[in-house]
Parts: sequence; structure tokens; C-alpha cells
Amino acid sequence: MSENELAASKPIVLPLIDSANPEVLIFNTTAIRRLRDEYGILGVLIGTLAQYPQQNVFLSVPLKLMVWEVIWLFEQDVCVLVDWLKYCNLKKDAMNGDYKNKNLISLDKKKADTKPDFLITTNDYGEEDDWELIDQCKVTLQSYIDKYLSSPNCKTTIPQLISNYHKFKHLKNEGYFISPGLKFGGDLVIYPGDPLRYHSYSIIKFDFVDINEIIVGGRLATGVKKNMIIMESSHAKEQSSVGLDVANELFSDPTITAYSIEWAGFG
Amino acid sequence: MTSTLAEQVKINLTHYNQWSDVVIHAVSNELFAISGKPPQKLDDKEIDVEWIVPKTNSNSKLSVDEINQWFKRIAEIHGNPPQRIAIAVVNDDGTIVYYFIHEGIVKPRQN
Repeated sequence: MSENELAASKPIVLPLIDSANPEVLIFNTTAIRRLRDEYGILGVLIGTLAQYPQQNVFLSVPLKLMVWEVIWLFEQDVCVLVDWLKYCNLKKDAMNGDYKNKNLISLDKKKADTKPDFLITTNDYGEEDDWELIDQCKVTLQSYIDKYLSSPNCKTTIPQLISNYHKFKHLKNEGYFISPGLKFGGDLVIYPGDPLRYHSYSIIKFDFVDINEIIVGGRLATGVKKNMIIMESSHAKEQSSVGLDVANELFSDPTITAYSIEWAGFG
Repeated sequence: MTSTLAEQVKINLTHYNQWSDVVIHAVSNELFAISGKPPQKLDDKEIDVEWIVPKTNSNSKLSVDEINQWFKRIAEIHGNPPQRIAIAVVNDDGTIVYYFIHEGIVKPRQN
């Protein structure tokens, strides 16, 4: 087995940053490429280019993953979620003295042994993933979801999360490439193939309230050569969330009904 | 009330959009469906008869389940499920707009 094949058989490391407001941010370009090539997971690049900080047409690492993408990778059993702060600390401790001396610089030669003034950081986190340390820093799906739901910005409830994930999964398993839908006022946007090669098909709405939303969404979608898709999951919504095995519920496969809406072109 | 809504859509289709063979079907107590033929083909789909469900826009909600019912009921009176249903949204000022609803995830017309 070549080194590349060996790397490909390893799960993809998903660094979980800032435990209070959990975000999965990936800096490792090999992982980003594997997500796209092997699993059709796009994420969103959110970093600026250091050379051109005033533009936001072309963005750089890190790649931020949507919560649905993270859950889906969990369900496929192809990723490990890692408490990145803990991992970095463990890794730092595990490094030998040479590395420390090379990267921590003191201006005053005399106080070289005391607190350094600078730390040199490289563009990439460099070294190979240290699987022994990763094993110590794994985060379970359950605790990720708990953190996600209890973060201050999150307005989703558990039943909503479950039902929306089922809709995401349905689209993903139909082979669509999926991006966040804010650009068009929806929840998701789907593409028939890699967005670098295809225009998007449809704007997905998870929930909608009244008929005016169909008109607004349908007219906008048709105006940008798309249609609007509304979806419903057969998964019971009224379940109490107490004592619910969230992972189990997420990984179930309820029937999904979907309808595509577009302007009729007359009237 | 609902039947007058259907009447209104029928008049709009016949006289404003110049459709022919416009017929109102009382599908159930709550649901009226309209079938008819547009003056020319609306797109490249081979559809002979279009099906239309009138709906008022004030205060009315629409669920995926309800649309599901439309397809089922219309399939019963039509013989086979229609390729698409147009929803006619009627405002109280007389404006009517039409939107196509397709079953499942379909390619948009002009992509």
C-alpha cells in the first residue's frame, strides 16, 4: 500500500474549534480535497487571502463545514471530530526541545530559558496527524450536537435539527452537491455536480409558512434560472426531546416528500 | 366560497389567458381542481391537459401533505397522476398568479 493509499484509508480529521460556539474549521488542504473528491462535501472557504485582504471573491482556508455536513460524515463513518485546542496543547507538550527552540524566539538571548517573546507559526499545521493524540481528543457526535444546540447563536431545536438533517441526507444521497442557501434566501442550494462545473439547480426551503413565500421564493428562483424545492420528512415532529437518542434518530431514514416550484410563465 | 374562487380562476384562464376546455372538478368538499388546455404549449414538455388548483393568498398556509393530497385526488379523477399541477393564487384585488408544482426534485426549465 502506497503512502497516499494509506492516507486515504484514514478517517478525515475534523478540527472542532472554540468549544463554546462550536465550528468545524479545516486548514489542512489535503483533507479539504478529500472531502470534495471522495465525498462531495463542499463546505465554505471563509479565510481571506493575506495578499488581497480587501476582496471577498476568492477566499482561502479555513474551510467551514455546515452542521449537516459534519453529521453526514459521521453517519458515513469517515471522519473523527477532534477537540483542536486540546490536541494542539497535547502536541505541543509532546514536541521535543529542538522544535520548541526553533519556534519560540526570545529577543533577549540571556532569558532564552524563560518566557519567549515570539512564536513562529507555519501556514499549515505541518506535521502528519498524530493518531495517538487524536484518539485522546475525540469528540462524540452527541457532545458536538449538544454544544451546537446550546451555543448562543443557535435557534434550532432537536426535532428540527433531526428533520432538517434527514432532508439534507436525502439530497446528498440523491447525488447532489450542496451549499448553504443564504445567497438566495433559502436553507440550501443544490447543484447537479461540482459547482465549479455546474450552475445550481434549486433553492431548498426546509420550512415555509404561507403561500406568499411560495410566490416570493418561486419567482426569485425562476428569475435566477432555478426552481424552489419544499420538503417534508415523515419523521414524527412532536416527539419529546427528553431521553432521545439523537444519533440514532439522525441516522434513521424516514420518507422524504419533495415538490419543485417554479413560475408558470403566464397569468 | 371556494367554488367562487374556482369560478374566478376559470374566468381568468378562459378570457384572459385564452385557455380552452376549462372545466371545474369538485374533487372533495374542500378541494376544487380545474383542468384546461393552454392556447400554445407552455414549454417543451408534452402535456395535453394542465391541472390547476385555486388558492387564496390571504391567511392561507400550504403544507407538503396538502400538495400530496392534490396529486393523489387528481390522479383519481384524471386516471393517472398529472406531470405537474399549477397553483393559482388569487388575491382579493383580482390578481391571479400561477406557479407550477412538480412532484419530487426536477431540473428547472431553463437551466
